[in-house]
Amino acid sequence: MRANFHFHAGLALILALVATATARGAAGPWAESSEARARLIAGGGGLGLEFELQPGWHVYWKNSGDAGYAPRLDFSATSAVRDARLLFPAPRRFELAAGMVSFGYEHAVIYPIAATITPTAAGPLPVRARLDYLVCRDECVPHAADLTLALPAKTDAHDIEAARLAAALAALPVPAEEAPEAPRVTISVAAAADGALTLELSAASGTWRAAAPDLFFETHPLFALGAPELKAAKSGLRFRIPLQPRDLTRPLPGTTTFAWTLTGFGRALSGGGAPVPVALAGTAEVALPH
Amino acid sequence: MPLLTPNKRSLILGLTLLAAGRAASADLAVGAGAPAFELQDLDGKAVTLAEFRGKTVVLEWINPNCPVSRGYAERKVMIQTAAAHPEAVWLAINSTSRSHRDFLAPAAHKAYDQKNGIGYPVLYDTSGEVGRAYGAKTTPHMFIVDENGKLAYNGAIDSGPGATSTNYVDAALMALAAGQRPDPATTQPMGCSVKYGG
Repeated sequence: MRANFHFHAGLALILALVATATARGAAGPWAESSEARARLIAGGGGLGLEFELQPGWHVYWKNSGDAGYAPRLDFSATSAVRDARLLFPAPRRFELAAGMVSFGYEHAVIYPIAATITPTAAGPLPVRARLDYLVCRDECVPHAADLTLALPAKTDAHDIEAARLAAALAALPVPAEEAPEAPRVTISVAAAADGALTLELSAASGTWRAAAPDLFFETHPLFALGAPELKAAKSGLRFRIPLQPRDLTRPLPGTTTFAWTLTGFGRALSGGGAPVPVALAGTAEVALPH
Repeated sequence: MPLLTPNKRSLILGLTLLAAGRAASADLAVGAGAPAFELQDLDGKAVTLAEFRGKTVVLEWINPNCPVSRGYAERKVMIQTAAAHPEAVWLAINSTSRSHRDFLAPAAHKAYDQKNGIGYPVLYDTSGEVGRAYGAKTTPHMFIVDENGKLAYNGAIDSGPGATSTNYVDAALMALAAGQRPDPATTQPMGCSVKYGG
């Protein structure tokens, strides 16, 4: 029975591929380079930016880490697409030489695009976007391309691109507050006697099990964040991240926020809207270790 | 009653980190003293940071074999920014390890500089010591040292590719010339990783 199911699923996939190839184009032409290729895809009322990468090459998360930069898409040539921004799947970590690290994706990635799209009455909507991206291995190569797509007035929910986009959306990190069954994440900043600051992030283990947990932060305007050090405890995961103020000439505010993404679970978690007291802010009492 | 005010503590934090030396991924904080250096230019002539005390100094981490660094050179972004600020000294530092394939010998570097109109000194830091002291991560990565020898800016040359790019270094130099502090004083550098040796 099981084999039979797989057979039917495979057949359905093949049929869907054939349908896409012969019917409408919900994917634009690939913009090719030696290292990667990129295109726009559409389906289910949404847009996405898809990359396929040659072995060893990667493109970037919103915080690219110590090198690189995230892809940028400019839809200003298409008035029907407004307020477009890329949504970022959970990244992985790439260790570079000399202790540097970057965050991104290898092999293939779809960045779903959040945008306000004004539908056309009839017929496909021509979409044009300017793409700037950097692709790196040890070396990095910047590329620019004009991506185009004939956005169908209506896409079939069973369209293969719609399904792939839906899967990419479903795989985005889920905001912790929308996942009550997920580990409860708490964040605090502690100051050592010498003034060194450490960010501590704890995830109380619920029913979720982490395979190879990792933690990523968006770039912070006030602090450089060091490499997270993981201490697995019975109660869950605890990360310690050294914080270095980036500017000694400006006083630190009383609180700040840290946008984080935690991976290693079945689904990545994200959060960071809540203000965290910064120990050296000046007014708050600092609890120093004894 | 605390012995130190919070701001003094954070200052001490910065100084402690400076004294302890830095990994390449560490960040030199704005307001911290700029690490002194003596490096050789492409002709083998020694250049020190100290000789420019009293002037604003721009440090550009450069690697002609990094396409991002090369792109800025070909678009003349660096030389035009430098030309707009004759009040500042502009130095490029190449921290590429001699053992990395990106390393460029003096003759080839000179040819590249000439082709791209680079007239400011290019200094070799093949040990990576100065790059690590500043926490230079990318090419390009820009630092501005103020006339008192303190770091005034750490980050990108501009907000990146695209027609609406903002030149942060130009804005920071204008602020310093007007006696103001750069804002932003820190941004995220963008480019290839600096090719430090082992």
